[in-house]
Amino acid sequence: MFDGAPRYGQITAFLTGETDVVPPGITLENDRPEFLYLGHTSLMGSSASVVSAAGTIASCGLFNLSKNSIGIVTLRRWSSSAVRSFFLRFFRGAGLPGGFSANASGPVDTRDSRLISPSGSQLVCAQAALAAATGGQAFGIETSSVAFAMFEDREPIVLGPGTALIFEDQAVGAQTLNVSWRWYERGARAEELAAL
Amino acid sequence: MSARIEDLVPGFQPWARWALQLCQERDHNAQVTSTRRSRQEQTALYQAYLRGESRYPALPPGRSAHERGVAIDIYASDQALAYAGAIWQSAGGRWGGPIGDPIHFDAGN
Repeated sequence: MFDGAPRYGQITAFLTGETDVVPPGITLENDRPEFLYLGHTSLMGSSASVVSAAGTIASCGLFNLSKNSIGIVTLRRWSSSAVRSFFLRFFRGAGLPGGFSANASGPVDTRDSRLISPSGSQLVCAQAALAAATGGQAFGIETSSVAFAMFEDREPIVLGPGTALIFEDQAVGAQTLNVSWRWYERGARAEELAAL
Repeated sequence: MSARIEDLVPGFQPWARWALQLCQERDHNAQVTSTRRSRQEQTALYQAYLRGESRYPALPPGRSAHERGVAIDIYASDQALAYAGAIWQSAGGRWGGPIGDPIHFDAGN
């Protein structure tokens, strides 16, 4: 049980004769207070693909719908079958905007060696083909000059509870839009939640 | 003074490797310059800092996370350190950038 902390395994075995019991008063190394937030950090990833018909706007988003998790987006890749310009929007809302459907988002890696299968993501990857823009504050514009060219952005962006990143065509048009995200995720600190 | 990640406390080692990996994503020449320090080593660093011989600040002996084995210093470009520091802080760790020590990453308190 204590593969990541052999000294505790030795102490436990010495005190209890067992190897899978934590004696009272002993804190496992990975549970030390200073590891609380780092220890709950996992690498997550997901991707979305949407086909928009003429007259609709292709849109893909990463939504933090949790009330107590922080997501740190570290990688975004996208490509479009058409030569088009896209907004990168910051969006705030308690749920998915109308017309969006959710994808599976899942763990990729965890740095807590005790966790063989880390828990699932609290963030939701979703896509939509809409008649009108989703809304939210646009803070970037990216343009593909060649169909299916792959673009990549590695600037870290923090998503608190109830916030989202949306990658959305500037105008209606037929295309296939592919977006993939990678992010780190952890539970929010009490002071962070209090500041919301 | 150790620059080996293996000399840090076992629970912090995966995080130290992660910090290095984040820096290396932006700077392939990123390398670890300091991990665990003895009290004597921290004392010497602090005295050098007081004499103005060190580019980076050093805490008095007994107050450094390096002595507790939960801190790592990484040499990398300013851009790589800023990138890794932003993620490290967001993930719950403490980064020395805001206090003029951008090479420093620790577990916080």
